[in-house]
Amino acid sequence: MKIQAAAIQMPCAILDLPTNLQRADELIRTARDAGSELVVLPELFNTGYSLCPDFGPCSETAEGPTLSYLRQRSRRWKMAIAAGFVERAGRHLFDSLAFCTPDGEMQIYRKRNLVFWERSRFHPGRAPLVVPTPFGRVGCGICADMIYRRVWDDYRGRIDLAVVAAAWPDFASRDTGRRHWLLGHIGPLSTAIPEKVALDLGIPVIFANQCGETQTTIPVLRTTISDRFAGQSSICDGRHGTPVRADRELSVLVAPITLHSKRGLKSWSSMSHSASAGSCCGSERS
Amino acid sequence: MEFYVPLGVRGFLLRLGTFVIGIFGGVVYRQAARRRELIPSNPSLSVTLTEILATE
Repeated sequence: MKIQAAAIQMPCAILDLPTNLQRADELIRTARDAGSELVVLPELFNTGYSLCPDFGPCSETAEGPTLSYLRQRSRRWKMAIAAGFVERAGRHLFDSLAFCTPDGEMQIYRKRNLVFWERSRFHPGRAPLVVPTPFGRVGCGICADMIYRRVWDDYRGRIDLAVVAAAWPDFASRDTGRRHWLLGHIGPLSTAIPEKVALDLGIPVIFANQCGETQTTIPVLRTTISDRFAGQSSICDGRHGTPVRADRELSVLVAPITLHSKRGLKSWSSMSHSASAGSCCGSERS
Repeated sequence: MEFYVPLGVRGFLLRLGTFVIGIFGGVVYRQAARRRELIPSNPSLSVTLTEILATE
């Protein structure tokens, strides 16, 4: 089974929900017009990603405006939408991913592996999330979750597709391009890990990253990097074909992915279709 | 926790740094959480949201 999937790469204004929702809506519309049945938006797409004083005023429960909007769009346009937002549960805030399906259902994954300053703003999630959909079982991850082996071991053999929302920085000066001495090697992992997971687990991986300028503050070292998000969102079709990747600018990346739900890994190794892939704007083949 | 890709010596530093920051970050987080209301209120975006959703 093949479906069209989209990874939306967008810059997100800090704590400006109306601007971010309107921007996302235009991009989701572009993905829909290109025939996408599954759309992935970046981590914290509605609030932006930064060391804000407090995400509390922009945090939402399931009845909040962002999730209401996503559920309605998913139902009306008959597409699954995964998107990162700040979730509020009682006094706690979570860096979460909502997965909305066209039947009006929604499930929420909470980021398990918080890094850098994130631990001072969010409560960590405790469990992986597998969402059953008509096109297969979808495993969810957020940004730095990708780095940890346990995350992928939890999903191995249990999912047919992975979606990862990210706000992954370059860890390099946006002016000079010079990488940070300690973290500079982490930036390129945003391109390497989705590809590796796709080959290792034999499943399609949709990775949607933010783009645009940011600042990375490293606590303890008291260092601030005038950084930018790495962009380079990607759609890797498991062991089929070549990954499709965006550049560093705003982009709606659309490509077909091949799903073999509930068959297990052996069926993948015998398949050798080459995925023909395209994109709406600003993407390139790797 | 083990990394999915090898990060070498820097990986050790990253793990150590994440651990240390996790402890201090957890303290900061708990203080902020205590100050929040137990019953959350969602941000209101009625006009903008209505406009977005009215557009097909």
